[in-house]
Amino acid sequence: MGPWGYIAAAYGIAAVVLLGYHLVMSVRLRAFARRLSALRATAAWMRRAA
Amino acid sequence: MLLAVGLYVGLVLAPPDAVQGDVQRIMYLHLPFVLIAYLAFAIVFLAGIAYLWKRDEWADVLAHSAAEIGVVFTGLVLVTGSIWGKPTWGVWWTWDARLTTTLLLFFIFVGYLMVRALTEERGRGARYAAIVGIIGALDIPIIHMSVVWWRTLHQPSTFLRAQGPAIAPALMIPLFVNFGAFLVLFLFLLVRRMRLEQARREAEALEALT
Repeated sequence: MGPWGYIAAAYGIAAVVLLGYHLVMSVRLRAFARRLSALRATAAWMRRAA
Repeated sequence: MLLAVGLYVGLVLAPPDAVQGDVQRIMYLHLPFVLIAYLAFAIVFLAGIAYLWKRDEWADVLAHSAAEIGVVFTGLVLVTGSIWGKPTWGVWWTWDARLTTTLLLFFIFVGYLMVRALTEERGRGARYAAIVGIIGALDIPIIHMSVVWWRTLHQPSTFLRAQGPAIAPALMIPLFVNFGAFLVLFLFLLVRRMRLEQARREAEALEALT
């Protein structure tokens, strides 16, 4: 492998890891936002009922 | 945008190194990753002290978020360093003092995240993790001084040395541009990770109520 092969490997792995990490975090953030809004609605309904 | 500029400056504008040739361009990733990892674990250290002292929930969220991102960047430090080491030293890995202490730092903070994940009561987990984080961050000065204290294959410090930086401006500017770009990325990831952690804790608290 020539020098540019090593460079491509280093930059490629870094890009995949950082983009992947960001992507996973975005998906989890969106999932928590949905779960939180449902939980807040349930908590508000329980307060009204009580 | 900044990352794209850093990529262009590092891969196109910067001249090849006189000794290492083009492979040296990997340093435009490796060195910023090292500094970002140090920064992340310094935050864990300070936030850990703040949490143990004041029991401030925000400090714990900050420490947890910075530790996770620090582990990602330390992993990348090890991988990019290894990829640079093969054409330069002829080996992917060697049990050199700098490499070994960096690997140790990675494992300490993987352990930090495991302590948090495996402790059932969150307050206890946060206290244990803060202690692991404070002790773990003490490995950073050891990593930095390892090239002075022991005979190593890894070269001595290029930037943080008493005689000033040992690097030509044509190679230093791309390093600074890339460091700036990754610093912005780190802060962006840190804010998002903290938001996620706060959402997770709020959801847990609401679930306990409902």
